[in-house]
Amino acid sequence: MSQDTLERLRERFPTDVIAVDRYRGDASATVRPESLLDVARFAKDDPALRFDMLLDVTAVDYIGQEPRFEVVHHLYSTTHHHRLRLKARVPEKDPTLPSVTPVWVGANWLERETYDMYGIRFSGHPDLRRIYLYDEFEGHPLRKDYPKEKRQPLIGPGSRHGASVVDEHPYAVDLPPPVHDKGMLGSELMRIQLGPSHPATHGTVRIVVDLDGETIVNADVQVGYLHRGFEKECESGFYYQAIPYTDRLNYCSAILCNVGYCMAVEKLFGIETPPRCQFLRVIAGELARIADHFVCLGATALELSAFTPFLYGLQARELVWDLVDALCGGRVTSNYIRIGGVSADMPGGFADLVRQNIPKTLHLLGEMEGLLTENPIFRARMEGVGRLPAEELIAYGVCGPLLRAAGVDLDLRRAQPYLVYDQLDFDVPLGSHGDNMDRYLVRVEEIRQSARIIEQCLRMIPDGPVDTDDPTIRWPAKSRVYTRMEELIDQFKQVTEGPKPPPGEVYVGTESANGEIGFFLVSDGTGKPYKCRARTPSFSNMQPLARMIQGRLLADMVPTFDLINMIGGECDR
Amino acid sequence: MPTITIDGQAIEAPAGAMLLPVALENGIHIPHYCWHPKLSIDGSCRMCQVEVEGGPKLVIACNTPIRDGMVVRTKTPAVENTRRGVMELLLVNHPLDCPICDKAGECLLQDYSFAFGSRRARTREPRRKLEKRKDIGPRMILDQERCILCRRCVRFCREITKTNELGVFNMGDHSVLDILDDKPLANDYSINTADVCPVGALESKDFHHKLRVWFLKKTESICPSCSNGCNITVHHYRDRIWRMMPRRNDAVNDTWMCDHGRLNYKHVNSAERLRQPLLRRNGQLEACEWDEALTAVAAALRRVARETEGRGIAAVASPHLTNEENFRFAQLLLTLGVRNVDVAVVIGSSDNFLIKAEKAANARGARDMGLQPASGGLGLPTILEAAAKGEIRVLYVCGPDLWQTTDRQQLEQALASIECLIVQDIARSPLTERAHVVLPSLTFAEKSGTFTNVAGRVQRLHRAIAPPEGQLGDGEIFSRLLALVTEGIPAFEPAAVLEEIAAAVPAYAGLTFDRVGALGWQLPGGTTQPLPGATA
Amino acid sequence: MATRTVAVARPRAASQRTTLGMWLFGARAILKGMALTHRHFLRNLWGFIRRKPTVFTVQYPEQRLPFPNAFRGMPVLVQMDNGKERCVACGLCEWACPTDCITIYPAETADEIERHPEVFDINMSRCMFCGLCEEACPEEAIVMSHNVEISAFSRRGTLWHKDDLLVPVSKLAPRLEHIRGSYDR
Repeated sequence: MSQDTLERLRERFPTDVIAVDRYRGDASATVRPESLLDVARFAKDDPALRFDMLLDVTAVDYIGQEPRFEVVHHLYSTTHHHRLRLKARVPEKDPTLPSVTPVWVGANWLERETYDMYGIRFSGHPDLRRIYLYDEFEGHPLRKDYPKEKRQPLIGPGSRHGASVVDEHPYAVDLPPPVHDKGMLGSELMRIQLGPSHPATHGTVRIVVDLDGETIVNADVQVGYLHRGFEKECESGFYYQAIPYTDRLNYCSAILCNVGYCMAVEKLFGIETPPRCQFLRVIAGELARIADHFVCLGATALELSAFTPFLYGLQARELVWDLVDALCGGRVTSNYIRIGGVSADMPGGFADLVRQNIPKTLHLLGEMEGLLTENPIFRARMEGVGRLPAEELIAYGVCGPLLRAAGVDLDLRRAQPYLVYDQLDFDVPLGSHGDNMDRYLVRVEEIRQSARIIEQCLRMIPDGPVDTDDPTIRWPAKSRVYTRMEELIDQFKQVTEGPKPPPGEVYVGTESANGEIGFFLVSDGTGKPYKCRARTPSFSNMQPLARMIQGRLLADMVPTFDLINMIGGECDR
Repeated sequence: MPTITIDGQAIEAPAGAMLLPVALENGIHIPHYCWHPKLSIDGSCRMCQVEVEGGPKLVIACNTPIRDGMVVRTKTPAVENTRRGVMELLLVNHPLDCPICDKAGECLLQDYSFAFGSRRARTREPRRKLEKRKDIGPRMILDQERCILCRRCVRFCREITKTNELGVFNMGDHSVLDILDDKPLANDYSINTADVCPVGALESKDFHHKLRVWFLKKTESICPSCSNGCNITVHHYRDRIWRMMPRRNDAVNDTWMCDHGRLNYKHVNSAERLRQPLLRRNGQLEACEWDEALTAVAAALRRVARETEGRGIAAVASPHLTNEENFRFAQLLLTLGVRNVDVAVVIGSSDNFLIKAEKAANARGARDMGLQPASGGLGLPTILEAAAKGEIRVLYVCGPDLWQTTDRQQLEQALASIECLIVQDIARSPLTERAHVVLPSLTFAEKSGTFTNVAGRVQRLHRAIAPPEGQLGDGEIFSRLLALVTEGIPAFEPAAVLEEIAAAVPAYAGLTFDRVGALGWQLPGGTTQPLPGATA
Repeated sequence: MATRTVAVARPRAASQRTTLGMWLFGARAILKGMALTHRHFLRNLWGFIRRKPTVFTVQYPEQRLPFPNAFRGMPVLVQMDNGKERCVACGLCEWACPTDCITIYPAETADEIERHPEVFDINMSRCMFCGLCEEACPEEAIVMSHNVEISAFSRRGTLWHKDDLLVPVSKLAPRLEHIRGSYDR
C-alpha cells in the first residue's frame, strides 16, 4: 500500500516531491513548501490515496541546518487505512508555510500549536494565535535554543506590563470576530466564560461563549491550562525516563500511553517483543481502557446531576485499579511498560483476581445502565445533542469512540492490528446518529468488549520470556546485577547512557481510550530523543466542540463536553 | 605514501606507521587498552586484534606496521569473537566495584564490555582478594583488584617521568601492580597515571568519591599555574570545578600536566573570594556598589594624572589576566599618560619537562600587551622605591604577585605615602587590607580569552563557571574605567578586543579566536618547546 | 482475527413519539432505577444494623486496605543490621530519576565498604514514585516502600534526609522479595 502511495505522489508531482522514504515501513514524502497545498489536496481527493484525516501537524527544529525547521504532517485514510507523512522545510529567517486548513479544517488548532511552540507562521490560516501559552509569552519554547529553565517575565497587576490584563480586556481576549453579533430582538449578546475553574469543565478548559438568551451563538474553546511541556521534558531526558511522563498524558488510562510510546521506541530499534509481553500489554491496556470509560460515563452522569451512577462507576474503577495496582505497582501512574518489555510479569494469583473483579465491574456497569439509559431525563439531555456529521468529524481529525458513534468503522485494533489483537475476537460498537446518546452507548459496549478481550488473553497467554533478550535495549535482570560483572556493567551503561536507537524517525499510532494516540519520535543516535511528539486524541477531539454546541442551549455544552472525554493531560500535554 | 584498506575504506598512511594509530586517526575505532599515543608499544592487552588479509591468524593492530596494499577488517565474526573472549577474560578477575569506583562513566572496561563483550557472565562473585585502597603516594591510591595489567602506568613512570615507581610484580596469574615499599609514587606528575589507567585501579585522592563523572560538564581552557600553558579541560558541575585534566596538545604538553597545576583550582570556588567591591570609609573597608567604586577609582586616576601628567601613577599588571583584559588595562593607562607600569610575577622552581619558572600563565602576554615601563617610566622594583620616596600618589595593583614577591617591610614603606591604593584581586590579602579601593577579580575559569605562554603560543580559554550575577569581569572593569575617564562607552567583548590587539600589536597581527582554535597559535619568532624524552 | 462491528442498541424510539408512550416508558425507567438504588440502600441498611457493613467505602484512616506487593510508595533506604545504610552512593538512582529529586554527596569511609553517601536527600515534593531509582540501584539499597502518608506542614518538611529515609532491612523483606522475583528474567 505504502509503495503505491509514494509512487503515486511522485508520479503526479515529479518536481515538487523532493524526497521519499520508507524507514521502518513509514511512508514519508518531503515536498517543496510552495506546493504543500496542492500535494495536500491531491492526497485528500485522489481515490487511490484518499487521506481524509489529518492526524497531526508538528515541526522538528534542526538547529544548525538550513532550512532549519521541518514541518511534519501525519495523514490517515479512513477508507484505505494507510498512512503518509508529509514534510516541508522552512528557513529560520522566514518560517512561513501555507496552511492546510482549506483541505482539512482540523489543521486549525494543530497549526496554532506549531506556531505557538516553534514560531512557524502558516499563511492563509484563519486565526493564527497562540493556543497553549498566554499572549505575553516571549519566545517559542520547543526551539532548541530555548533553554528549558528559562524564566518568563511576570504579567498582571504589578508587573512591567502595567495594567492588569483583566482591566484592559474585561472579556476574553483575542477572540475571532463573532459570527453573529446580534441576538434576538436585536439585543446584544452576553459573553460569559465557562472555566477554567468550573465544576463541569473537569480537566481545566475555558470556553468563552456568546449567549443569546440561553442559546450559544459563538463559542471559543481555549485549552492549554494543563500544558506542562511534555515534549521539552522528554527531549532533555533519556528514552526510559519519558515513560513516567507518558503516564501523565492520559492519566485515566495511563497504560495505553505507555504502550504507544514504548512501541514507538521499539520501532526505532526495529525489534519485536516476545508474545507473553504482548499479551500482558493487551491485558493491562484493556484494563486501563475500562477504567477510562468508567470515568467518562460516571462524569457524564455526575454533571447531569446523577450522582449515584457516578459513584457506581468509581466503585467499578476501584475494582479495576486494584488489578492495575497488583500488576504495575501504581494505580493512576502505572509506569508499567518498558522499552523492550514490561516492568514485571503478572504476580501470582493475578488471573484469579481478574476473574473475580471484572464480573463485578460488569455488574456495576449494568446497574449504571439501569439508572441511565432509559431514563427520560437522561434521554432528553443526550439524544440528538451534540451531533456532527461523520465527514466533518473526520475533517477535524476526530477518532475513537466519538467517531465510531457517528457510524465510522475506525478502530486501530481492527483496522491496523498491533500487539496480539489480530488473534482476538471482539466487536467494535458503532453508533448511527452521532449524538451524545450514541457516544455513551458505544463506550458502554466497549467496556464489555474489553472485558471479553481480557478473558481471552488470560486463556491464551503463553509462557516464556517477558522481555526482549537484546541487552542493548533492556536493563539486565536485577538478581544478576548484584553478583555478575557483565550485567553490572550493562546496568551502569544502560542507566547512564540510555538505550541508543539508530538515527531515524518513526510514528506509531495505537488505539487509546479516546482515539488514536500517536508517538512521533526522531532519534539522532544518542540516548535522548531529538523529538518526542505525542499526538493526543483529546486535542483533536476538542476542536469541533465549538461547532457541536453552536446553536444549542448552554446546558447542552455539559454532556457534549463530558462525552468527548477530554483528559486535560492528554489535551494539553 | 602507502595505501591500505580498512573495512573497505582506502587510507593513506606514512610508511612504518603502526596500524592502530592510523585507524584511530581516520575515525575507525579499534578498541585498545595498553596502547597510548605517547608511550611505547606493549602489546599485552590483546584487545586491538584485527584481521589482516593473508594472515594465518589475527594480529594486534598496535604492533603491526602498515604495508602498501594491506587489507584490514575489523568487523568480522572472528574479530568479534576474539574481543568477546578478551573481555571475558579481563572481567573474570575484575571485582564488582562499579558502584564504588570513581572511573564509572569513563571506564574503558565498561565501554568495551557494553559494546563488544559477551553481555552474559559465566562467572560470579566472589573474586580474588588483593589490596584495595592502597595508599601509594601523597596524591594517589591503588586498587590492585581492578588492575587489568595493561602497564600504561609502568611505562609512564619509566619513559616520561623516568622515576620508575610502579611495576608489575610476580608472574602469570599472580601478577600484581605495586610500588616498592620505600619509593612511593610521589613524582610531580603522579596523577597522570590515573589519566592513563583505563580502569579505576589508580585513582587520584583529590577526586576520590567526589562526584560521578556523568554529571560533569567539560570546558576547554589553559592551566593558570605556570607559563607553560598546558592545555586542560575544566570539569565542572553546578558552577563548581571538580577536577582538571590535561588536553592533548603535541606542541605544548603532549597529554600530560603536572600535579600542582592539576590541583590548583580550589581557589576558584573558595568561600574567601571577593564578590563585592570595597571602599575605605572612615578608615574601614566597606562593601559598596560597583558604580561607586569605579567612580572613585576613575576620579582618583584622572585627578592625579592631570596634576602630575601621569607621573604620579604607577600600575602593576597581573600575569593572571587574559590578553584582552590586559590590553584594555594598557589602553586605560595610555590614556592617562601613565608610564610607570610593570608586571609582577612569582618565580619558582622549574624542571626540564613541563614546569616553568614563572608561576603565572600570562606574564608574557601581559608584557606583549605593552604593560611594561614606557620611555622614562619606572619598572619594578623601582616603582616601590619611588613610592617610598613619596613620588607615587596612586598605585593600581592587579593580582597577588606583588605582595607575594616583595619583602613585607619594603611593601609597608612603599605604601606609606600612597594616597590611593587600588587593588584588584580574587581574595583578600595583606595588600587588600591596606587598599583604599578593592575590586574583585575573576579567575581563569570564569573568563573567555587568550593567554600567551612562555614560548609565544597564544592559546584560548573558555568560560566554564559563571560568576555570580552582577559581578563584573576584569575586562569590564577596565572598560568602564576607560569610559569614565574618556567619557566614552564601555565595551568589552573578548573576540572584538582580540581583533583590536591584532591591529595594535605587530606580533599578534591577523589573530582571531578562530585562528587560535583549540590548539593555539604560535607567534612568529617564538620557540616551540619539544618535550625532552617524550616518545611519539 | 474475528472482529466485527455491531450497532449499539438505543432505547426504543417509539417510546418518544406519543405523550402516553413517553410517560409510560419514562415511569417504567424511573421505577426500575429507584428499585435498583433501594436494593442497595436496604442491603446497606441491613448490613449497618447487623454491624457487618456491606458498603464499598473504606473508613480511612481507621480502616486501611493492604497494598499489593508491587505497590510503589515512597522510596526508602535500606538499613543493614549494623545500622548503616546499604547505599554506596553510586549515583545511579540520582541519574535515573526523571525529576532530579535525589541529591547525593558521596564520601569515603574507613570500613570495608569504602564509599557511602554523606548526604542523601530526596525532595518528596518532586518525587513521582515512579520506581526508576529502585530499578536502577545495583545494590538493593533504595526500594519503594508502602508508605504514602507523608504530608508536611512546610516546604522544608518535604525534603527528606538520609536519616529520615532509613528503614531496617527486616521491615522491607516483602519488597526485596518482590524485586528479586519480578525483575528477574
